[in-house]
Amino acid sequence: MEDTNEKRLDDFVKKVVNSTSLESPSIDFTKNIISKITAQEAQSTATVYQPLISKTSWLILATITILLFAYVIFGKLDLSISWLPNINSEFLNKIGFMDALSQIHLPNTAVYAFIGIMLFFYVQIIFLKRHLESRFALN
Amino acid sequence: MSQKTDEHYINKVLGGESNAFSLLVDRYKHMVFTLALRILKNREDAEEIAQDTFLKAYIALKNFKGDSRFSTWLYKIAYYRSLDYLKTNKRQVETTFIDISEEYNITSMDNALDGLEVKERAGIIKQAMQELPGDDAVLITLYYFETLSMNEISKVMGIPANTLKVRLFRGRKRLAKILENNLEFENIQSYGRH
Repeated sequence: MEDTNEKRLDDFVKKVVNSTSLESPSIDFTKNIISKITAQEAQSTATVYQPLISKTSWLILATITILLFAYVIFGKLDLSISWLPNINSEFLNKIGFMDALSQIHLPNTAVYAFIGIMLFFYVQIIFLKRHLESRFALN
Repeated sequence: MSQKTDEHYINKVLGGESNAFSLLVDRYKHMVFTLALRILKNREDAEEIAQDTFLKAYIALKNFKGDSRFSTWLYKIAYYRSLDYLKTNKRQVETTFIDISEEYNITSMDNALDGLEVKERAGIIKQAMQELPGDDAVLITLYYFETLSMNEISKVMGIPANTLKVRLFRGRKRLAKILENNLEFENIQSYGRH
């Protein structure tokens, strides 16, 4: 009894649903989508990320740097610059600037606090970056 | 022309012919729009979400593996986009509360519907669908109109097939009850007119 009732209901709903048509969106529906797609594609080619210094420039820069260092280290190069006045190393010693720095003693707590704050600072950069990226993301 | 498969057009789109996508849109826009409307109950919102669905599908097309049908993949996007839309807009869709334990008479309903003009009948059925909770309406549309299998609907809605069977069972009853109520209302109104 229950089964035949279910069957009848099933048939009835089938008939009811199939006697209607699907709902139609607006006439310009397809046109709107295609124009949105073209707009998006034009935009995405315009906003493609281009690094300020391209990979080839980085490569060239790296080679130049390495070559320069190699020349300085291995090449027979006279490093004394004739037109610079000779720096009196005695004079530097007299100032004792570096020595003065080593006299500063910070309490341990201050050092830990400083390290902690630095850590938070770096962590914050990561969070801020993620937050801003999600805010300006195109979806 | 229309016999060409979805894959044919998908490959065309992936090959750079973005205009081929409009044929896919034309093929599925009615169903996608209907599904969105079933959930959102508002034509403007449904239009927006349907557009959004196709845009999303266009962007994600290269990720479409083809292990399910293109249509079910598209319906899934539409379904989830609609639900997301409701969630982000915190909108409560108004649907009537239906006591499905009440009895209804299929034969008399059937006769009453048959007695109506085609246009009027379609209007009453659409109204009933509108009053049905979104999930039920989507399920009934996919099952009876699109004749998808329970497994396919399960993929679209992300609900196990067994649960869907129970829901379909209840959804049908709700629809019948709503129809009966609306038909009675219609009758009272038409008495008033004569």
